[in-house]
Amino acid sequence: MAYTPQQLKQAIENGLPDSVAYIEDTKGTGDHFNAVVICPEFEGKSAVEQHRMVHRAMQEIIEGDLHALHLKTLTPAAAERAGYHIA
Amino acid sequence: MAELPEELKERFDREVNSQPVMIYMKGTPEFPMCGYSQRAAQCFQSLGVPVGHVNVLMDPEAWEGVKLYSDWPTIPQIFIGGEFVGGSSIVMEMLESGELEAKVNAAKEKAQSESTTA
Repeated sequence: MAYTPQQLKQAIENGLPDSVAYIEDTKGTGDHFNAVVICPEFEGKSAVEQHRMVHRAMQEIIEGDLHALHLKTLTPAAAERAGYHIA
Repeated sequence: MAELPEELKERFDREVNSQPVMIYMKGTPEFPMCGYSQRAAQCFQSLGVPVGHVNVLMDPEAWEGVKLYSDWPTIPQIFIGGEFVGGSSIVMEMLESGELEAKVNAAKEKAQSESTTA
Protein backbone atom coordinates (compact mmCIF):
# COMPACT_ATOMS: atom_id res chain seq x y z
CA MET A 1 0.00 0.00 0.00
CA ALA A 2 1.24 3.45 -0.91
CA TYR A 3 0.72 6.68 1.00
CA THR A 4 0.37 10.28 -0.13
CA PRO A 5 2.45 13.10 1.37
CA GLN A 6 -0.87 14.60 2.50
CA GLN A 7 -1.65 11.49 4.59
CA LEU A 8 1.68 11.72 6.38
CA LYS A 9 1.29 15.45 6.91
CA GLN A 10 -2.17 14.98 8.40
CA ALA A 11 -1.14 12.15 10.71
CA ILE A 12 1.85 14.08 12.06
CA GLU A 13 0.09 17.42 12.45
CA ASN A 14 -2.95 15.78 14.11
CA GLY A 15 -0.76 13.82 16.51
CA LEU A 16 1.58 16.68 17.46
CA PRO A 17 -0.13 19.87 18.63
CA ASP A 18 0.98 23.06 16.81
CA SER A 19 3.35 21.16 14.54
CA VAL A 20 4.02 21.84 10.88
CA ALA A 21 5.15 18.99 8.62
CA TYR A 22 6.70 19.27 5.17
CA ILE A 23 6.63 15.98 3.28
CA GLU A 24 8.28 14.98 0.04
CA ASP A 25 7.62 11.71 -1.79
CA THR A 26 11.21 11.22 -2.94
CA LYS A 27 10.68 8.45 -5.48
CA GLY A 28 7.08 9.15 -6.43
CA THR A 29 6.19 5.63 -5.32
CA GLY A 30 4.41 6.48 -2.05
CA ASP A 31 6.79 4.57 0.19
CA HIS A 32 9.97 6.70 0.42
CA PHE A 33 9.57 10.05 2.14
CA ASN A 34 11.57 13.01 3.34
CA ALA A 35 9.90 14.76 6.25
CA VAL A 36 10.73 17.97 8.08
CA VAL A 37 8.69 18.48 11.25
CA ILE A 38 8.67 21.69 13.26
CA CYS A 39 7.04 21.54 16.68
CA PRO A 40 7.30 23.66 19.85
CA GLU A 41 7.06 20.51 22.00
CA PHE A 42 10.50 19.41 20.72
CA GLU A 43 12.06 22.09 22.90
CA GLY A 44 14.47 20.59 25.44
CA LYS A 45 14.20 17.05 24.04
CA SER A 46 16.94 14.96 22.44
CA ALA A 47 16.85 14.12 18.72
CA VAL A 48 15.90 10.53 19.58
CA GLU A 49 12.96 11.70 21.70
CA GLN A 50 11.84 14.15 19.00
CA HIS A 51 11.88 11.42 16.36
CA ARG A 52 9.99 9.04 18.66
CA MET A 53 7.25 11.67 19.05
CA VAL A 54 6.87 11.80 15.26
CA HIS A 55 6.97 8.01 14.98
CA ARG A 56 4.17 7.75 17.53
CA ALA A 57 2.05 10.33 15.70
CA MET A 58 2.31 8.33 12.48
CA GLN A 59 2.37 4.88 14.07
CA GLU A 60 -0.22 3.31 11.76
CA ILE A 61 1.67 4.40 8.67
CA ILE A 62 5.03 3.32 10.08
CA GLU A 63 3.63 -0.10 10.91
CA GLY A 64 2.17 -0.27 7.41
CA ASP A 65 4.12 -0.42 4.21
CA LEU A 66 6.42 2.56 4.59
CA HIS A 67 9.84 1.63 3.27
CA ALA A 68 11.87 4.67 4.17
CA LEU A 69 11.50 7.88 6.10
CA HIS A 70 14.26 10.46 6.26
CA LEU A 71 13.17 12.60 9.17
CA LYS A 72 14.40 15.97 10.35
CA THR A 73 12.91 17.50 13.50
CA LEU A 74 13.24 21.14 14.51
CA THR A 75 11.98 23.42 17.24
CA PRO A 76 10.45 26.67 15.90
CA ALA A 77 13.60 28.56 16.97
CA ALA A 78 15.88 26.08 15.19
CA ALA A 79 13.64 26.22 12.11
CA GLU A 80 13.97 29.97 11.97
CA ARG A 81 17.77 29.73 12.26
CA ALA A 82 17.79 27.15 9.47
CA GLY A 83 15.75 29.46 7.25
CA TYR A 84 12.43 27.59 7.14
CA HIS A 85 9.48 29.85 6.51
CA ILE A 86 6.55 28.83 8.65
CA ALA A 87 3.28 29.81 7.03
CA MET B 1 6.97 -10.55 18.54
CA ALA B 2 5.06 -8.07 20.71
CA GLU B 3 7.39 -8.11 23.65
CA LEU B 4 11.15 -8.58 23.68
CA PRO B 5 12.13 -12.01 25.07
CA GLU B 6 14.59 -11.79 27.97
CA GLU B 7 17.33 -13.79 26.21
CA LEU B 8 17.17 -11.45 23.21
CA LYS B 9 17.42 -8.41 25.48
CA GLU B 10 20.51 -9.95 27.06
CA ARG B 11 21.97 -10.57 23.62
CA PHE B 12 21.49 -6.90 22.61
CA ASP B 13 22.85 -5.66 25.95
CA ARG B 14 26.00 -7.70 25.30
CA GLU B 15 26.23 -6.85 21.61
CA VAL B 16 25.85 -3.05 21.84
CA ASN B 17 28.52 -2.95 24.56
CA SER B 18 30.94 -5.22 22.71
CA GLN B 19 32.20 -2.45 20.37
CA PRO B 20 32.44 1.34 20.64
CA VAL B 21 30.13 1.58 17.59
CA MET B 22 27.51 -1.03 16.71
CA ILE B 23 25.15 -0.79 13.72
CA TYR B 24 22.10 -2.92 13.01
CA MET B 25 21.81 -2.54 9.26
CA LYS B 26 20.66 -4.07 5.98
CA GLY B 27 23.77 -5.63 4.48
CA THR B 28 27.28 -4.96 5.75
CA PRO B 29 29.44 -1.79 5.82
CA GLU B 30 31.32 -3.21 2.79
CA PHE B 31 28.15 -4.32 0.98
CA PRO B 32 25.22 -2.26 2.25
CA MET B 33 21.84 -3.32 0.85
CA CYS B 34 19.96 -0.09 1.54
CA GLY B 35 20.84 3.56 0.98
CA TYR B 36 20.08 4.54 4.57
CA SER B 37 22.21 1.77 6.03
CA GLN B 38 24.97 2.75 3.60
CA ARG B 39 24.89 6.41 4.66
CA ALA B 40 24.93 5.52 8.35
CA ALA B 41 27.97 3.25 7.91
CA GLN B 42 29.72 5.86 5.75
CA CYS B 43 29.47 8.44 8.54
CA PHE B 44 31.80 6.28 10.63
CA GLN B 45 34.04 5.35 7.70
CA SER B 46 34.57 9.07 7.06
CA LEU B 47 35.81 9.36 10.65
CA GLY B 48 38.04 6.31 10.21
CA VAL B 49 36.15 4.47 12.93
CA PRO B 50 35.68 0.70 12.67
CA VAL B 51 32.14 -0.43 13.37
CA GLY B 52 30.64 -3.66 14.56
CA HIS B 53 27.55 -4.63 12.64
CA VAL B 54 24.63 -7.03 12.55
CA ASN B 55 23.14 -7.67 9.12
CA VAL B 56 19.42 -7.90 9.91
CA LEU B 57 18.70 -9.39 6.48
CA MET B 58 20.54 -12.49 7.70
CA ASP B 59 19.11 -12.33 11.20
CA PRO B 60 15.29 -11.95 11.30
CA GLU B 61 15.26 -12.27 15.08
CA ALA B 62 17.55 -9.24 15.42
CA TRP B 63 15.55 -7.35 12.77
CA GLU B 64 12.32 -7.48 14.76
CA GLY B 65 13.96 -7.60 18.17
CA VAL B 66 16.15 -4.52 17.92
CA LYS B 67 13.08 -2.40 17.11
CA LEU B 68 11.56 -3.40 20.44
CA TYR B 69 14.87 -3.11 22.26
CA SER B 70 15.36 0.53 21.28
CA ASP B 71 11.69 1.54 20.78
CA TRP B 72 12.55 2.64 17.25
CA PRO B 73 10.65 1.45 14.15
CA THR B 74 13.28 1.54 11.40
CA ILE B 75 16.65 0.12 10.34
CA PRO B 76 19.51 1.17 10.51
CA GLN B 77 19.96 1.64 14.23
CA ILE B 78 23.18 2.96 15.70
CA PHE B 79 24.58 2.42 19.18
CA ILE B 80 27.64 4.28 20.47
CA GLY B 81 29.20 3.13 23.74
CA GLY B 82 26.14 0.96 24.33
CA GLU B 83 23.78 3.92 24.01
CA PHE B 84 21.12 4.12 21.29
CA VAL B 85 21.68 7.32 19.29
CA GLY B 86 19.12 6.94 16.49
CA GLY B 87 18.88 6.17 12.79
CA SER B 88 20.67 7.43 9.70
CA SER B 89 19.32 10.99 9.65
CA ILE B 90 20.31 11.69 13.27
CA VAL B 91 23.78 10.22 12.75
CA MET B 92 24.30 12.33 9.63
CA GLU B 93 23.30 15.47 11.53
CA MET B 94 25.67 14.50 14.35
CA LEU B 95 28.50 14.04 11.85
CA GLU B 96 27.94 17.54 10.47
CA SER B 97 27.86 19.15 13.92
CA GLY B 98 30.98 17.31 15.14
CA GLU B 99 28.97 15.61 17.89
CA LEU B 100 29.48 12.19 16.32
CA GLU B 101 33.27 12.29 16.52
CA ALA B 102 33.14 13.50 20.13
CA LYS B 103 30.74 10.74 21.12
CA VAL B 104 32.79 8.04 19.40
CA ASN B 105 35.99 9.26 21.06
CA ALA B 106 34.31 9.20 24.47
CA ALA B 107 33.09 5.64 23.81
CA LYS B 108 36.58 4.52 22.75
CA GLU B 109 38.12 6.00 25.89
CA LYS B 110 35.52 4.33 28.05
CA ALA B 111 36.19 0.96 26.38
CA GLN B 112 39.94 1.40 26.84
CA SER B 113 39.76 2.33 30.51
CA GLU B 114 37.45 -0.63 31.15
CA SER B 115 39.82 -3.04 29.45
CA THR B 116 42.84 -1.76 31.37
CA THR B 117 41.12 -1.88 34.76
CA ALA B 118 39.66 -5.35 34.08
